[in-house]
Amino acid sequence: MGEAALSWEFDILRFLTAAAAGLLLSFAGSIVQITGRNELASPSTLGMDGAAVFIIMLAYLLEGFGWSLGNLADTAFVIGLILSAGLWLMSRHTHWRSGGDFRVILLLGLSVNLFVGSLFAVMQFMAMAFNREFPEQLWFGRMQTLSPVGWGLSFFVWLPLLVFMIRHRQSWKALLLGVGQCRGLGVPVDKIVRGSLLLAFVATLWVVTQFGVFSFLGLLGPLLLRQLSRYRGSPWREMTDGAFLVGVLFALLDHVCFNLTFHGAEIPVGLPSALFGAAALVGLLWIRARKLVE
Amino acid sequence: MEEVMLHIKIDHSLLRSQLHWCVDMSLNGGICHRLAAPNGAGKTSFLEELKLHWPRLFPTTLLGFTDQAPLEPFQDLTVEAVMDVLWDITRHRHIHADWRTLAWWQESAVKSWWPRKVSQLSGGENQWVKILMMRSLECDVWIMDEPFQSLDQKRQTELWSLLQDWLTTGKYLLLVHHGDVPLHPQESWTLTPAVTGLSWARLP
Repeated sequence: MGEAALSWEFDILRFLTAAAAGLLLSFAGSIVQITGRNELASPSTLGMDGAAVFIIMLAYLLEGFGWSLGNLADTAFVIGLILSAGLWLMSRHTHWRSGGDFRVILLLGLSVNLFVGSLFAVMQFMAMAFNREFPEQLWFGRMQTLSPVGWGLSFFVWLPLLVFMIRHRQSWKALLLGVGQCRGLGVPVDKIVRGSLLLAFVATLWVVTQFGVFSFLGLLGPLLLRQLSRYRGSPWREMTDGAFLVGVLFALLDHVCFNLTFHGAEIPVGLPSALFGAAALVGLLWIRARKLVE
Repeated sequence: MEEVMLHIKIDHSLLRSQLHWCVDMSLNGGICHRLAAPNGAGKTSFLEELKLHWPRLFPTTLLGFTDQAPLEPFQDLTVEAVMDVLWDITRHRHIHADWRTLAWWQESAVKSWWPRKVSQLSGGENQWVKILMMRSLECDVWIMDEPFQSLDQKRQTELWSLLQDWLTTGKYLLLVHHGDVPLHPQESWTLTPAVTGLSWARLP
């Protein structure tokens, strides 16, 4: 028989960490949905989760060759940052056009997810063969207190995010109207979309490398927020206090998980968030399908 | 009003669609210019390119653009909400405090659309709303891609008077159409000849 136990402890640092992770995932979801004009776009569906997992695998392999920054999470994040910077520099010299190119990214994201899914099995086999511990981040998301280096590295997420948000503050609303309208009105839409995708990736990278994969949160957070009239038609609110609200709710869920043990093991918050998320997503899609039929 | 000429020169090759075009045209304020070319000539591609380069070419001028695609905001927004967004973005240009006070939004049929979701408008209603939105923004240049296509006869006539009113302000207007059919046979309007400094060519 299973044994569940409930205690009540409050770890403020862990609560803040979880709120930061939830906020970043909700923000990443909002930014890709608004710039891509697609409510099913999210860090998961665009393959950002998958790419971050791939980078963890890369860091895991490099650790095998003795190249590490001390822990796997930080190593993976730094590798991801270097790759992101390279991608950013490359994208500055390519002729990017949002709209058509965004559909290509969606397909590319699906391919990344499938590719990483297949690599996952190879990783499990290698860990078993070389008798190494399998990276926990690859299973499910679990909040933990960060190392000072981990917090220090988060500076590379928060600073560009704040600068980008404030710099384009007047343009977020315009993006609701579509790429064509934005271009006519002089909104640098292609630049914003490119920057948004990169920022969403870096935010997802930080969360996935430090804590693991939280499926659906980036997709559902913004969708649920838009059920409230306060956030409908207001991207700025959605990406600021809306993302903060999702972060706090996520931290509360983690707080419950932190205090609830099953057979002595803490329930990772990634587990219920994925289960509730999948159910809520099916519900939302069903409502959307009904509206379309009507 | 002093006549100012707007000179647009773009030479670009769209390798993906194997289309090469070179545009060198001048627009005069207060005159209805036409850009006429047959289907497949690349008119829409040119307009897309023009929109893309517009902020760089003319950073201080606001381009109003009415194309054939229906207005589809990201979320299910009402006409009023979409207009509020547009008004907010261009607020520094407006003399009126609120777009709701503008005459063309006060027409009873149009007023009844305010609370309606944009997705619930018919093709013609959607087109008319787009036209009114761009008219309200007081853009410097207005480019219209086949604006009469989805409109009934009453609205077509209204559009002509709206455009005439627009031109009296000395602003720039470019109508894009096929060129093989008259724009509006009922109206005896003096139009400029189709823009001549425009060449289209498919790459070999």
